[in-house]
Amino acid sequence: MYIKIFINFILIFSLFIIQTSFISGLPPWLSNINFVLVVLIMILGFNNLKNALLWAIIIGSLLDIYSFYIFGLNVFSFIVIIFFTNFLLENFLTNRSLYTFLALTLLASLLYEFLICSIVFLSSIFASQPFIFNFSIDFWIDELVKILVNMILAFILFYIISFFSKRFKPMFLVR
Amino acid sequence: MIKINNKKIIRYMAVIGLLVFLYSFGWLRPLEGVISKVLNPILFRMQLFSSSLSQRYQEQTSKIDFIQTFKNQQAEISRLLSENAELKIIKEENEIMRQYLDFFSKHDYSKVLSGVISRGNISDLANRVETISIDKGSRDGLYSGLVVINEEGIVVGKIAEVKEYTSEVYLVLNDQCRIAATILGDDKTSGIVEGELGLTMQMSFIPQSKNIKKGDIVISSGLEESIPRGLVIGQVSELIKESNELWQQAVLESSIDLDEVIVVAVLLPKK
Repeated sequence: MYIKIFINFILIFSLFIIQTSFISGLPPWLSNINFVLVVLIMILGFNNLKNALLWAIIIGSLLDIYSFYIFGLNVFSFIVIIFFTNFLLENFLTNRSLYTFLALTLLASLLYEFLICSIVFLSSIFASQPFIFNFSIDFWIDELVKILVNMILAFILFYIISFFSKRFKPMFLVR
Repeated sequence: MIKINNKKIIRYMAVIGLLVFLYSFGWLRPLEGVISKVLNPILFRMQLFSSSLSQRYQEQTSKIDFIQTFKNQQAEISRLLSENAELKIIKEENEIMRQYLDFFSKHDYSKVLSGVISRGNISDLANRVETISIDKGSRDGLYSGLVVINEEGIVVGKIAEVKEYTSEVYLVLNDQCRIAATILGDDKTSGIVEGELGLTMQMSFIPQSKNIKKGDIVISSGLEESIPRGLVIGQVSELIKESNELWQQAVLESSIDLDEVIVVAVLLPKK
């Protein structure tokens, strides 16, 4: 049991390091990847809600420590997304196919961006410099790129996990 | 029937609330210190590795004509050599004059070297990449407003926010980074340099009567308390001059690639 906890902590810290330092230094379109979000969705789908929530709390806290936004932004966002995604998994998208994970990644990415924008805007109201959004075409293109790269990553991770796991066959819906 | 586990939601929201409460009162600071001390070196190494990959990618995909660039650089070197000779003469004269006037420097600056651990932030809106995080913070004497330079003394940006072990730096291309500047050789032409759309810098509030040309070097004016005079910010690449306007603007470009900055120095005024 202690070995499992230790391995989990190593994986969480590795994920945090990859997201914060490695991905941020990559070329522009690759640096848009939200690796943490996609991994959390995979854990929720392939493992269970409890583990996904624990990972969300720890990694969200680490991201908040290194973030210069209000503390709790990432933790709160990830927890909300996990609950939302779980709600969809248990009530609507129950088959756990590739399409399910792609749909979940799409919705989770949209929700994440919405939550971040909202919380930053609300917190900036109390700050000396209100945050003004620039909803130009570049902003929307950036958002679209973020969602697309997340979905591509989800696609790749799904195949990798399915290859090593016997739990999810078939991968595609078969009539 | 739709399943919602309200108890679980409330429980985890309470955990988040507790974390935010503990952080607000500084009770998580010791843990934050330990985590920062352990992770900062690893984050720096990972950023270094990532940057080297990114650079290799840029080199492969770049379509620059290297031969033409080499020829241009040779001409530039020749021009600089002759300019250097002139400046050396002026420097010698200046040193003699300083000795006669018994001139003491008003500011004596020390540097804090720091490594870049992250660029931008996953929760950064509009995917800004004009910010970097460095592995030094208030514990090392840093505070907001300090200037950050590279190894050649060229301005990279300004410190925007400081935590105990890390700081956020707005790069010169960031529209929230503003530096009081002047044209090298013309002390009376001063203005404010600020980032423009994350791509270039713009020097504003230059009087219409001032004659500025392309290639002029822009330096820090020293009007800001914590930023010394004489730090190179960039070079004028374009002028925006409208006859019906009070001021003219100059578009500047930095002589360094801000994506390749890995180690920076923060200048601290000595009191």
